[in-house]
Amino acid sequence: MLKYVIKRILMIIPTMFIVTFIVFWLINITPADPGRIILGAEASQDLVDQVNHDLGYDLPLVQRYFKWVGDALHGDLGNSYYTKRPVYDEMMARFPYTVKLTFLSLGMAILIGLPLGVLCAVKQYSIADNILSTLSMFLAAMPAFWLGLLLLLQFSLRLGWFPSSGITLGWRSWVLPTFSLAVGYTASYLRYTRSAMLDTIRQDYVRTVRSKGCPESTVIWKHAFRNSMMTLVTITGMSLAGLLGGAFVIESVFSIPGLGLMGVTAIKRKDLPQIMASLVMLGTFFLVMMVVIDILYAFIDPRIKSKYETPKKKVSEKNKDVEGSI
Amino acid sequence: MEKTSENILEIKNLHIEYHSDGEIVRAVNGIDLNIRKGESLGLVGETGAGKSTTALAILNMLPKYTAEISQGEILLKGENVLKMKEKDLRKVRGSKASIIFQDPMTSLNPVYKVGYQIEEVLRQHSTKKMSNEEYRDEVGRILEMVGIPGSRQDEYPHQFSGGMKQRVMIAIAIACRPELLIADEPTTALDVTIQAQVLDMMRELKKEINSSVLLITHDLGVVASFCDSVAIMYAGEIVEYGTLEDIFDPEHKHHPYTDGLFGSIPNLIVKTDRLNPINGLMPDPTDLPKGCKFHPRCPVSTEACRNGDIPVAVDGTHKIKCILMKNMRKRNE
Repeated sequence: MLKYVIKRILMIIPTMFIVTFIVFWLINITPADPGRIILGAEASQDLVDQVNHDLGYDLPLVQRYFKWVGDALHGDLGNSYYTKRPVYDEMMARFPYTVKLTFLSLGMAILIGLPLGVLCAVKQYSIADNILSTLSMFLAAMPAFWLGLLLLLQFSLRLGWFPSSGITLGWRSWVLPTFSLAVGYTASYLRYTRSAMLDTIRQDYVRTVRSKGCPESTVIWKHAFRNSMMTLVTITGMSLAGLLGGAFVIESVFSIPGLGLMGVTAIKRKDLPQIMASLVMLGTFFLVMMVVIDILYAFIDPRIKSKYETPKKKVSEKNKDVEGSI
Repeated sequence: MEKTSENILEIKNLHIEYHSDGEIVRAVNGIDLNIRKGESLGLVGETGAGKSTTALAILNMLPKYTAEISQGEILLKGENVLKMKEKDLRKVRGSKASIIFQDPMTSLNPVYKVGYQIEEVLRQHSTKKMSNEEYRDEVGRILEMVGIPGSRQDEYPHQFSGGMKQRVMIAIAIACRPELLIADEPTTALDVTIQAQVLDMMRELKKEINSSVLLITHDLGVVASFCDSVAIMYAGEIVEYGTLEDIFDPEHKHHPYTDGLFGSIPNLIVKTDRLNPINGLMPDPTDLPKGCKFHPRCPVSTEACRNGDIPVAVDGTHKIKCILMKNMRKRNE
């Protein structure tokens, strides 16, 4: 098991190399360059080339990439082309906000979507199930930024209950962003939970538990739900990727100074060090969460756990004892 | 066989329907069954005859929204399980009556240790307080009863073979020493050598805990080696009912369907080139034929079979639901 975990963690390193190189390359093939953007359309080409040379942007792609990797491995992610300040410091100041937004939304999606999904599955075809299933379809189809703008209009401009931007007002600043990011995911979570539960609830082993005379709560939560967890953990992992992406957009809508806002601004300005920094941070965060989810699998399902464990001698000896009787 | 008049299970005129997509599937159409204390009854029939539906109905475990018990009653030790509240039913399930399902591969929860799954039924029904250690010992003892070393209770179902899993299922079913054990094709999913072992073991256990058994199967050989009496089921009806001798004695008169069943078993004494299977298929349960349900496939059917009620001919313990059984006494209905 430990060996497997270490292997999974080590796998992050090559993945990061591939991801960062692809981004480097993608930025390289877009037209325009930082010098041109800094100086504007009117500036002479000589001046632009000079700025690009100062930034090290005129070197060949591969050379530039390995220089960046070398620096990054020394903990130096470079200075922003614009602010000239170290990117690392700014990123560290912003990262917690993005994480907070992501986890608040994930928390809301799980806390609301999951129990309602189980309810829909247990009371399949009831009025509650019909209403929730239909409603969740609409909510899941709603783009987060659009919902965010609508919420801004109603609750901040008309009613003035929550601030329209920034994070200076404590928990009230987080209500609208969390809500607009989470609604779609809550709805999908409900639907995924419902279908996963509908699947496990019909399994033979659930019928076995009923035939033992166990109360319905044991049947549903201990047996059916525990088996649905595999699907739900997978969904959570996939949602995390979506939530991080969604956080980028929502941060722009609500002007939350998170990594997303920084990343979007940096991409607009082709501020390469800053793009790379936010990417490395988000990528690492995402990959680490994936490892956590893979490890969770093993805890949920003993069949997966036993696959990672080297077979013990003890087991085969035990089998030998029984061979006579079976 | 213990001869007492006490009936553990009485099924009276049971009708069960499934509703799906506006169609009514008539799965069970008025069956009567009795099982006395210590008796083993074999319920034999083709796939789709309504055997498993009957088994689930005894524990009132049919799917709530699709299945409807339209008529009849099921008395378990004199109490009608169909009228019981959910809370009282839970006290019956696993304790007074328990069930062994057909497919051991899917009937155990893959994420819990087998010991825990046995312990669960003990905890649910035990009357006295027991410590965790005592539960462990008890689970170990029950596992040994089904021929599995008690030390294996900490293993997961995927570490067990199919036959071992069925033993665990049997262990769960007998853990609370039920008075009625329903075995729904307990050996169908197992290969032949394991089948014999599991049946032998069930026979031993039945003696040890002295329970009555309802054995559901389509294997007449299993019935012959295990049961005291036999009910042959066809399209939701019991077409023939009697003691093991009544059914297996070729000298007796039999329902044409029973004859058909025996005709499709290879005979070691009489040499035949081909077996004689029953022609045709089970009737569509959404559209059952009038009169005798078997008449479209019956080689000796007459015009009279197509209409009206079919009387049950009775000869001692032997009952046959067929118009042609003229020399048997007719039961007045």
